[in-house]
Amino acid sequence: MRSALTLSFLLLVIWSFKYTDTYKSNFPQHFPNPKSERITNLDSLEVELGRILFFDAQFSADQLVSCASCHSPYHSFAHVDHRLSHGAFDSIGRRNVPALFNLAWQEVFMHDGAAHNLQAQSLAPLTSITEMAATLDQVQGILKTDLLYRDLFQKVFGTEPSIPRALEALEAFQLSLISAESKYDKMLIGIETFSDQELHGLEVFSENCASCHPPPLFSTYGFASNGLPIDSNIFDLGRYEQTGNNSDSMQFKVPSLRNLKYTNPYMHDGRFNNLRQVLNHYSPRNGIMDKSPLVIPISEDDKSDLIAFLKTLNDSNFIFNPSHQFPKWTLTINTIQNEN
Amino acid sequence: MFHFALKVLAFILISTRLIGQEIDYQLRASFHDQTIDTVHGNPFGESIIFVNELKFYIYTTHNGQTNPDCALLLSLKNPKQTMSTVRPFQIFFGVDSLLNYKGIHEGALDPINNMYWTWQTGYIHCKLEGYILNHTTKQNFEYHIGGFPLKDKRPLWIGQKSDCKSLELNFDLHPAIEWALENKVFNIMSPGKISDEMVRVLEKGIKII
Ligand code: HEC
Ligand code: HEC
Repeated sequence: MRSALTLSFLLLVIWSFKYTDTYKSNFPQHFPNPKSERITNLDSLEVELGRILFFDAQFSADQLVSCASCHSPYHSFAHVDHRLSHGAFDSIGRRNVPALFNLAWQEVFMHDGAAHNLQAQSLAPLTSITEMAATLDQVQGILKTDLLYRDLFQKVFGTEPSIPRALEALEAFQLSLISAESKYDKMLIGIETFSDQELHGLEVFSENCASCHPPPLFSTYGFASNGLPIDSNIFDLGRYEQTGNNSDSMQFKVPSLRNLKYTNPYMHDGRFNNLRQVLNHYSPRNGIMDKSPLVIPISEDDKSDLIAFLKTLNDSNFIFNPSHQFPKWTLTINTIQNEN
Repeated sequence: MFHFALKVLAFILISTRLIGQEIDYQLRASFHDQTIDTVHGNPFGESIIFVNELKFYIYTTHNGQTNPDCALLLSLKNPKQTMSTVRPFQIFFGVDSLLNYKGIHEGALDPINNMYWTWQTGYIHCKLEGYILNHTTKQNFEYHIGGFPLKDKRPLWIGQKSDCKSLELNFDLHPAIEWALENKVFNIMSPGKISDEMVRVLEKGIKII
């Protein structure tokens, strides 16, 4: 009797650890206060549910595309290789896939700020013809019939699966993606030091780039034009498409410069493949005059130092963090069960 | 002991006040004074107006507060619904801007109801669809009004009640159709200036009886 009591007590303790401990969001001291209040209070099982949803291709119309197809953990949750996004039935989108991290510090999403809310954002890829091309009825149908989801929603929310709860979980997973362990971060807290070249690169950066890409997030997360000429095939006017104000034409959300090693190609339409090309846009090489309204004079030597500095913003711990990867156990077993 | 009793009393008082009562909400869609005729259409000058879809949100506030449970989606297909409501209450048209901003909610506000824009986030306050027959010409109209941001965030007040068991909302579509014909606006699919104007006209037509 006593041992049974002890055992059930132990089980209770384990259970409560497993299911009620809140996500320890170890967001770093050198970051400003986050914009999302949820980040300080994430439930770890909800984050896990969000991860499973994020990697599950069942939801797309052709069952082949998940959020992670475009937002791959190994590329800092961006796409690699192609300029524009690739979705269900091999459709091609209109924009380059942005990397996903430090989303808790952002208030608007998408290159043009079309989404003002991270929960709502997921509805766009789920239903867009060039992304997952599903209907919400289909998504809800899968959630409500799949035993894995029925079980997980019950554990996390104590309810049946529903679209709003699924969006909440997807948000939780995405908020948990924090990148703050680059060499730059380690230098700030004094556990790594910069080389002379990196230090000089930092100076060049502070002078020329930090107004739009301020540390430690390396973005204002506001909108700006960095002087790119319009691509006449895509005709993307950026922020203007949301506000209709002429002054917003060709303004795009300023991206963070963390993890650039993993996120090429660059810019809203993926027009540049490497950092040299980016810098040659901001600062055209001797003699070649760009029509760009934003020209930043940087010498070729300074460019090399600047690139050395930008490399200190790569965070391999973020990229290889096991809790960001495909949830092999759950999803593989689930697929096998569903097939039988 | 006395304190404790006082607290219990206060709790009972507060909770009974805050527990809502079931109220039946009933939509009566009309064209001028006539209940709308979805089969034969509704005469308007030389034309006949056919309405295929009318679907809109209302929400209630109590002491200026609202929450996702205070929202109701009424439509021609589902004109009668019950919602627990704390009295006295005020009724507004559309979705409260704070709720709209805060994210995705369950119940009436579940995006499964197809009242959410996915490409420019925000709830659709009202859908009105149909066509205008004028002799041999047919003009379709399709209005999806709402989203975020409504430029002018003034809430769209419909009325207030302190006590009732059921409540009838009359939605007169005449002003909206008149405005549409006058301004030759037959399609609204995104938030913006025109959508804001239309919402004001729609608001005029809706009253508690
Ligand atoms: C077909 C490729 C594709 C798929 C699948 C996809 N996305 Fe995206 N995602 C994009 C593109 C492209 C953008 C930029 C869109 C724009 O700016 O208009 C984007 C933008 C985002 C953003 C905004 C990031 C920012 O910094 O503004 C988030 C968050 C996001 N996606 C999450 C998701 C989630 C969650 C899913 C799955 C439900 C998903 N994506 C599925 C291609 C995709
Ligand atoms: C006036 C503001 C502004 C300044 C100054 C600025 N940028 Fe940018 N930067 C932007 C905007 C806006 C974008 C996104 C443009 C787009 O998506 O088309 C961007 C994009 C980038 C990208 C591509 C990132 C990605 O993920 O696609 C890199 C790299 C970059 N900037 C580096 C720099 C460097 C280095 C400097 C200094 C030499 C600099 N920027 C100065 C506004 C600015």
